[in-house]
Amino acid sequence: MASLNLVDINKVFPNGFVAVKDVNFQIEDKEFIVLVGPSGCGKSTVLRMIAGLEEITSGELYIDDELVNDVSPKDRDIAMVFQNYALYPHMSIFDNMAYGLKLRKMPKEEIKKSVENAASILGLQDLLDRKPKQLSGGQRQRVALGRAIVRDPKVFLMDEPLSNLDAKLRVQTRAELSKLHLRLATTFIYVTHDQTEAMTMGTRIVVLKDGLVQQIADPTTLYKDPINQFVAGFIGSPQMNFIEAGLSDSNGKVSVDFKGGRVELKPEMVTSLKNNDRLGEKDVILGIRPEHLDVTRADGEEDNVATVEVTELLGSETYLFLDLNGNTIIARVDPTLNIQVHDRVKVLFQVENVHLFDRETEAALFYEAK
Amino acid sequence: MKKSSGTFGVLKRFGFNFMIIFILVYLLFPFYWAVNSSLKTESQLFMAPATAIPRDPATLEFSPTMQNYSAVLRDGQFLRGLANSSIVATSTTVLALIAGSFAAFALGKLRFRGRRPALYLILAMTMFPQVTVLTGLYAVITALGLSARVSMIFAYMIFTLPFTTWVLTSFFKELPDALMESAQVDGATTFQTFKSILLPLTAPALVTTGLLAFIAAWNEYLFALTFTSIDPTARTVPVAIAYFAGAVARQEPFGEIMAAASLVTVPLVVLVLIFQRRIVTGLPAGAVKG
Repeated sequence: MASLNLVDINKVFPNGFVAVKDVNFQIEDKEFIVLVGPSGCGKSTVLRMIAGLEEITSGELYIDDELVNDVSPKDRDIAMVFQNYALYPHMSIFDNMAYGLKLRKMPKEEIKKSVENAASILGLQDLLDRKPKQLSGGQRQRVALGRAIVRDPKVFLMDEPLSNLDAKLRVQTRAELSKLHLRLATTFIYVTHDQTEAMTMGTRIVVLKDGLVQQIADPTTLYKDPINQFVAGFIGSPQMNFIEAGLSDSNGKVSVDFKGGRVELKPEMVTSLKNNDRLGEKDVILGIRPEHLDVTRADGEEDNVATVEVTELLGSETYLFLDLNGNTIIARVDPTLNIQVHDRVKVLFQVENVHLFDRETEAALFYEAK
Repeated sequence: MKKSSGTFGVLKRFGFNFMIIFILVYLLFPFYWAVNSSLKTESQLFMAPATAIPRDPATLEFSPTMQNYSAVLRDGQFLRGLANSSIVATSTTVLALIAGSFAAFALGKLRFRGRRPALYLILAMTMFPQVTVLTGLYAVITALGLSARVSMIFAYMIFTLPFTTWVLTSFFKELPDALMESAQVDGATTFQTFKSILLPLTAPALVTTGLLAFIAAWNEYLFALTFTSIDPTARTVPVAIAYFAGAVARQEPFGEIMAAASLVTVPLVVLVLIFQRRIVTGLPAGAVKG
C-alpha cells in the first residue's frame, strides 16, 4: 500500500533515443492506474523505471514520499508481473512463488502458509508440485500473479500480463484482476496497449504517446472529454469518426460544415468555444463516436445522407460503415433496423456529443482544463 | 528423407552410406589398432603380415594376451601419470568453469563499459598458437618457482578459459532478461540471481564445455612435456607414456604403450557416457546460439 509521485521523469537511452519526456503524475494509495498507449510510447519504460530496472535519466521518483531514484529494485518493496511471466523454469510452482520470501529469510512455516494462501486465491492448489512447462498459458499467468501476491508488496507492477492469453481467457482474467485489486487493496500499476483493458480495469488511466503524457483521467472522463484527437481516437472501439470540417459563425449561430452535411452547435458549446478562445477557428476536425450517430432510412435528397458500404452484425448491435460524401464513418445501430448494404440512410449527429479538434495541434476545442 | 528411386537414387544412397562407413573407419581404426596391438605379445606384434586380431604365430589361432595391461598397471610411472592427469585435468576444468561462468554471466547479461572489446579479446585468445607462449611461460614459471602441476593447470587455463567463457557467454545471452529482472524484483542480489536462477539453467552448457575442457587438458602434451622436465614425478599420462622404456636398451615397448593408450581413453568414454543426454541438449544450444 503506497502512493507514488513521479516528478519530471525523463528517460534517454544510451543511443540518444528519448523514450520518456517530462512525465509528471501522482498515484494515490490503492489506485489501479493503467498506463496505455501504442507500442513505443514509453509506457513500459515508465513502469520499468518505477520498478528500478531502468535508470531514471532525470527527474524524481517517490514511493511513499521517499526518493527512490537510487534504490535498487529489491529494496523498493514492489512486485512485478512480466509479459512472458518469467517463471523460473527449473523450480516447482511452489518454489517459484516462495523464492522472494526465502530471500527475505521468512520462516519456512510462514512461507508455506502465504504460498498456499495465494495459491487458493488463484486456484493453483493442485499445481504447486509441477514445473512451469507443465502448465498452460493461463495457469502460468496466474503463477506469475501468485508470485507477486505472496510478497505482499507496496506496489504491484504489471507489464502487459494478459497479452499472451487467448481472447476468452483475457476477458475472464480482466475481471479477476479487478476483483484481486479490491481484495488486496494495494496500489496497482498496469501497462497495456489495449484500450479495452485500460477502460475496464483502471480507476485512472494515463494515456501516453511518443514518451509524452497526453491525458490522465478516469475512464469516463477520458471517454467523454478527451484532451486531443489522439486520445479521442485511441480510447473507444470502434474508434471515433473524424471528419474534416469548417466552422462558420453567422449572427451568433455557430455551425460545423463538412462535405455532405452540417451540424449546428448548441449555445453552451458556443460559450465553451468562446471561453477557450477558439471561436475564430476555421479549419477543424469534427469527431463523433459511432454510438452518437442516429441513423434512419432516407426518404429523399437531403443533407447528411450516406450510403451503407458494409454492415457488421455483432448480435446486440450492428455497425454500419457509411460513405458520407467521401468520408467513411462508422455508426452503431440497433440490429432490428435491418439496414442492408447499398441502402441510403440519413445520419443525424447528436450535437451534444460532437467533438471538435484543431487541425494543426489536434487539441480538443471544447476541452476545459480543470 | 525422401525415398529416391531409380539408378540415381540407389547410387545416392550407396554414396551416403559409403561416406558414413568411411568416416567411421577413419575415426575408429586407430583406436581399434591400438586395442588390437595392446593384446599382442612382442612376437605377435612382429608377425608379417600384421594380423587384424592377435593370433598365435605358429597355429594362427586367436590368442590375446593381457600381459601388456598387467605390466602397465604395475608400472608406477603410469599410475602416477594417471593421478597427475586426473588432478591437473579436473582442477583445470573446475577452475575454468567457475571463472568462465562468472565471466560469461557478466559478458552475457550485465551492461558495462568495454564489454564488446573484452569479448573480442577473449575470442582472439582462443586463436593464439600455444607454441608462441610456451617459452615465455616456462620462463615465468621458473622465475616464480611454481610447481609443475600448478604450472600445467595455469597453462591449460590459457586455452580452456577463453573457450568456456565464449561458449557460456552465448548461452547466458540466450536466457531471457525478464528472468533476471524477475529475480531482482523478487529481492535477489546480482550474485543470488546468477547462482540460483541463471546458473542452473546453463547446466547443459556447463557439462558440455566442462567435458571439452577436461578432454583438452587430459590430452595435452606440449606444455606437460616442457613443464615436467624439472619434475618427472609430475608427469601426466601422455608424457609418462612417451617416456615408457623397454626392458632392453632401444627396445620400444609397443604393446605396453598401446595398452596404456587404450586405458587412458576409458575415463573420457565413461564421462561422455555419463553426461550423454546433457551433451546432446548442450552442444547445439551452445553452437547454434553462439
